[in-house]
Amino acid sequence: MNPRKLIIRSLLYFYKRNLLLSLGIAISTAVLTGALIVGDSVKHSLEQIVSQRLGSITHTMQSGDRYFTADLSEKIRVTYNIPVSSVLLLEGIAVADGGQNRVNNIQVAGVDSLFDVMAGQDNFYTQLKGDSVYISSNLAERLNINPGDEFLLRMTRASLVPLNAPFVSDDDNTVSLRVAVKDIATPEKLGRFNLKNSQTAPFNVFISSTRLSELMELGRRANLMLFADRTLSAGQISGMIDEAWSVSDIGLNFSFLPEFDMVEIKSDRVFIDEKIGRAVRATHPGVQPILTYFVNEIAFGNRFTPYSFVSTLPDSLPDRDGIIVNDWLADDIGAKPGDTITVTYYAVGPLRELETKKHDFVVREVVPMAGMYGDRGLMPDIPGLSDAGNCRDWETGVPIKLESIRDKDEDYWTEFGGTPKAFIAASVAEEIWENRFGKYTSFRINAGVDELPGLQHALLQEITPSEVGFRVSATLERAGHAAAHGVDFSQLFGGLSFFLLAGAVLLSVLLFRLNLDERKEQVVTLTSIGIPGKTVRRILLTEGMLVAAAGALTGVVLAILYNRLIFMALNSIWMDIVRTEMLVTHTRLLTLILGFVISLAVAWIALALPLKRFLHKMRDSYVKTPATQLHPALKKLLGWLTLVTSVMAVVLVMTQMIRGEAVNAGLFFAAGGLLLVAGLLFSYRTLLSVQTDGRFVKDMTTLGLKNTLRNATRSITIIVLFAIGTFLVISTGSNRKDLFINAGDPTSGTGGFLYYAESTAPVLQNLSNEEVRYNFGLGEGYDVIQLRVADGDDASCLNLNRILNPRILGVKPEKLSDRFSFVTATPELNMEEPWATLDHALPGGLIPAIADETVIKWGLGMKVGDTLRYEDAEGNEMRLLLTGGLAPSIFQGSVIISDKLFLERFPESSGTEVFLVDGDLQDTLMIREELTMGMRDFGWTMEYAPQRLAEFNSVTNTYLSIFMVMGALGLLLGTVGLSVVLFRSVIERREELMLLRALGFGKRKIKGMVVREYMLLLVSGTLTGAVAAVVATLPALLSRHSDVSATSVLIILLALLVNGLVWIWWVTGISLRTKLISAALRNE
Amino acid sequence: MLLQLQGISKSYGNPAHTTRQVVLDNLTLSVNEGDTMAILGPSGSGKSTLLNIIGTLDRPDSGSYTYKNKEISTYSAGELDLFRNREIGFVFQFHHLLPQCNLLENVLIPTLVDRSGKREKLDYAEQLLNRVGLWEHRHKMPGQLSGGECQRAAVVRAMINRPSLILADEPTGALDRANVDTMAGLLLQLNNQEQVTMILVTHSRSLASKMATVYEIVEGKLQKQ
Repeated sequence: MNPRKLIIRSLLYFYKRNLLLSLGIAISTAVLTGALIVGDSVKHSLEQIVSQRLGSITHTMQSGDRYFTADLSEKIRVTYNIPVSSVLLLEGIAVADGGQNRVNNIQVAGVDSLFDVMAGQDNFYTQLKGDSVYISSNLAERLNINPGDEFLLRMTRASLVPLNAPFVSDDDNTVSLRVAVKDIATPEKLGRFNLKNSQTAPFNVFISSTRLSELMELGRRANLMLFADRTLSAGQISGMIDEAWSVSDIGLNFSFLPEFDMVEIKSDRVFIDEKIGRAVRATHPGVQPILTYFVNEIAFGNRFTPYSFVSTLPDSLPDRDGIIVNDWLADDIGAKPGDTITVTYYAVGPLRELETKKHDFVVREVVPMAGMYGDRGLMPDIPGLSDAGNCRDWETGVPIKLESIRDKDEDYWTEFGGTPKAFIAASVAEEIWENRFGKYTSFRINAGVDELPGLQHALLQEITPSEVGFRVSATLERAGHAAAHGVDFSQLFGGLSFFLLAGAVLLSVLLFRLNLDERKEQVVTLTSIGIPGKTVRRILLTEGMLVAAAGALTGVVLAILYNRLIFMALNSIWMDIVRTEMLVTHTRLLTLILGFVISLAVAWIALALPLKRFLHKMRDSYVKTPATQLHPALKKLLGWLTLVTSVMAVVLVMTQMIRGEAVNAGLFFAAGGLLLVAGLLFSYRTLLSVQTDGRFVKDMTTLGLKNTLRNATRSITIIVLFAIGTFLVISTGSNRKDLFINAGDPTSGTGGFLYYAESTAPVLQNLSNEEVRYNFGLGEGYDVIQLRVADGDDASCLNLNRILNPRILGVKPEKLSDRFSFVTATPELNMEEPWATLDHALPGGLIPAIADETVIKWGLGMKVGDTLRYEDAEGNEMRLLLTGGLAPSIFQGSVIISDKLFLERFPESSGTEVFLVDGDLQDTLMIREELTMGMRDFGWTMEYAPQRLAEFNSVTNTYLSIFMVMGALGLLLGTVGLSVVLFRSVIERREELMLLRALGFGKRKIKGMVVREYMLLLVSGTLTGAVAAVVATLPALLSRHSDVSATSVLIILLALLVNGLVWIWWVTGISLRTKLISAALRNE
Repeated sequence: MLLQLQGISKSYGNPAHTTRQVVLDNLTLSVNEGDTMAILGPSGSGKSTLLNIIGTLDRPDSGSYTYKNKEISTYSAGELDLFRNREIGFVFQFHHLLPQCNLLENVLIPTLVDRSGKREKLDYAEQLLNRVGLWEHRHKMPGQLSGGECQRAAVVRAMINRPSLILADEPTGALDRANVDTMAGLLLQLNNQEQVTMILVTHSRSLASKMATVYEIVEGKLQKQ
């Protein structure tokens, strides 16, 4: 016999007990390793999704609302010999089955044969011609169509002119086309093409870029350039664009005017944006800026001329108050030099809000319509206006009173077109007609035709691609980062299963300790026959670790099954938190080894420490020292720790109550946690103290109590298991959000709004305007608040990727006054009027921003006070300071800034795409019908605001459900622990219990005593956990937005107690069966 | 007559098997009040089984058991519990003192069944503990006492309800020689002073010889020595 043999014999002899112990270790290993595998799998799935949505694409260049020429990408491709493809990417709506199936927010990609390179195909996208399209599988499924079927594709119009530029018609903002599905673009063929960092597949339609450009009347232009070269940096690509681009790519037209011997610069965008304007003036100091404006009337006395163009002259010609009029106008209104005439015009506001303004000028000169005064080229090229055959065909974007147009006006238009009728000083025109789209409509430079190339080159040297909104991005790298740093499911499930893990470890400790207790005599025997204590310890620990290794190995196998189970749940009942069907299991050998090693390390700690204590106690018992004596220092320490943790908990709660500011749920949870620790410390101290105070046995209850106290460690383990389990179950249950409660309250997450809506095509008009509402068929009795959108990634809890640049919403702060609730704030946010502070830029150019606290914390990985960095429309860095965090709201996923500051940074923003509808609950249906019908051409999607909030809350609730399931599993483990302890304890005490029988105690009395003993532990643990949980969830319990009540807490508590009681009753019954203990007192 | 067993049989094993082990076979025994009796026999002969049947911890397969002229088999479970508590005192080979209770508490455990006469029982405990020399140690825990002291306390516990019968199962089996004599003396002294009937089961012929009557179990039957 040697130690090895002894170990093997013991392992075999005590195999039942060892199996139980290895099961405990197996559970903890499975939970830990399973969490690691879940994390690996989610990360792997996100990486797979990246490769599916980007194909070979490494970099992208997006040109915002500009459309570069196809020549640009071709030139880069040929010059640098790299795979480049240009795409015209638009948004659209797909309608099938005569309107039965409708999908908004689809991506329409106009692609050419080079897109095949990006998709890793040889000849797929090359085949796209005419009105045939490829569609993604999810769109085919949603529309219920197959190859060969047709559907209606409605797209937002791609226009060279910003949609909301003054005098540009907003009619026909969409283009419709009936298309035939040629094939399904599967994920392998880049059917999930998506530049946004999201695991959710977009709805894609691929069409020939030639056909799409033709439809949009753009010529061969695009707004997205794709690169497939991992060796390049974003900077290098910017450099290539800088080298290869032409003025056409930024919408400028240079032409020589032989009659004036000048070069004219005009923009496709009507107004030349200020950045380019500055560059032109910087390169050509003598340049003549021209602003030609469409005015409503020019009046003198009671005579007026309707709808005319007025242009500018250098300041030296007319003075600031003067105006030069052509002889046609002078004749028409009867004005002569020295007369004061009034020019009436529209100032166009952000949402086409028109303000009629007047300006008086003194006629300085009447000039004939010749030379520069007869130059019809001064009129900018305004689609729908400058190209109209007669005045009645004008499509101006501003209201025209056709009845005021006279025959002579028609004749003027026929003969002279839009030749300006009057001229004012350029500086005055700038002041009164400057708008966010630019100050000038053209520039003229004294230069010859041969100077054209030089002029263009000089201008391009002065500006960079980023300054005109050309954004080059290392898309693949950013996507990789977003996927790699996304929601860490290893941590998440590790955290969610923490109690289960802790429960399993505690159970293992408990079982190991019970095993040791049963082998006391063996230890005494081994020691008494001269085997050194160290050897005994080594033998027992080796035995334990061998059992643990077997358990850990089993646990690794179970982990794979556990992961499968979790994935089944994530792909079904828990899908709310992943929002993709793409989750695949990915098991790495390294993860399995890691899980095994960590579990063994945990097992070593869990076994070695109790073994050391056990042997220490054994040694004490040889010298007859009462082993359970509570050391005064320990008693004192436990007392102090209880006091300190309790006081800390009370202080945290009191501080929150007294300050009366935004309730910090985290602090309450911390207070609850501290109280839980305090409660457990108190229980442990009590167990140890009472045990030694010699309290007299008065009845069966005190007799049972004495037994409970006999093994304080065992008892406290049970209490801990139940306390933490109860704490988790009640606190997670209490934090569950009622999805619809108080949804109409302005301070709730809906802001009191009835609907949240989004449009695929921007709405350019002010929906509060009566006339606009009338035109769209919208009645009265409800408001529509419009928000601007700067595109970005979805930072809501629906996105698993780590987001750097969430979508920005621009809102008029006064519209949100007294709505929503703030949970965190920086000093910059005035809590009296939090929304109003958004309008004021902060020192250093910081823009105040507000977002959901959950977005800040989880979506962005930040906190209030942190800064988000963006590029504005001119390529300048734009920094948003997160000044406030909202309680969960319908804004989840976006960052909110003021409309005013939004337009300063994105002046050419066209219209609004997010809408909040405020109205009476009883008008819900009517409002929905009117808006859905009136705004249908915009790709209008509206959602009942509480429903939207519920969707976000359902994510939180799903997390809580997982937490609750884990907590419940932990409680089950606690119950198993309790049962094992109870059973083993009864077996250990069978002589004692049989003695009681011999002394005349009935079975029921003895059973009652045992049940009371364990109920005491159950009740202590459960109540400790429950009280701490109630404190931890006070904000939820007291909140008007929660349906949690004292009753629901009591019901959970009662359920837990009844569950425990049933187990105790049942296990006690089994363990007290006569057969099990009948031989207890027999000596033979 | 205190008790009478007639035709008591008891066997162990699966009833379906033919090879059941017969422990007691048509056994008859009569015991008068105040008797002292020892039952001898080798291991497995059925001594403890007989004691458990007398103590109502076990039931015979057949036969009649009357105690103070009452048929025990007619008792309900509750009546049996009460009967054991009032009429019988057990002393085992191991003291089975509850480790979580001190000496006095252990001695008073049987009084928890019937809480009446608390003061009187406490006085009686004092008297008995004084008699066995343990009153001074009444607040000590079992772990702080010697084996002999614990066994003496177990005897006091058996006596606390003033039973009419003491059943002792190898009461000196776990004791050293010095303590064996003390224990024997104590049991006889109690028999003498308290008029309690005493039946003890033992391997020890010297202890048995101190009893008035000695029986030996042979093939499931009692043979008077």
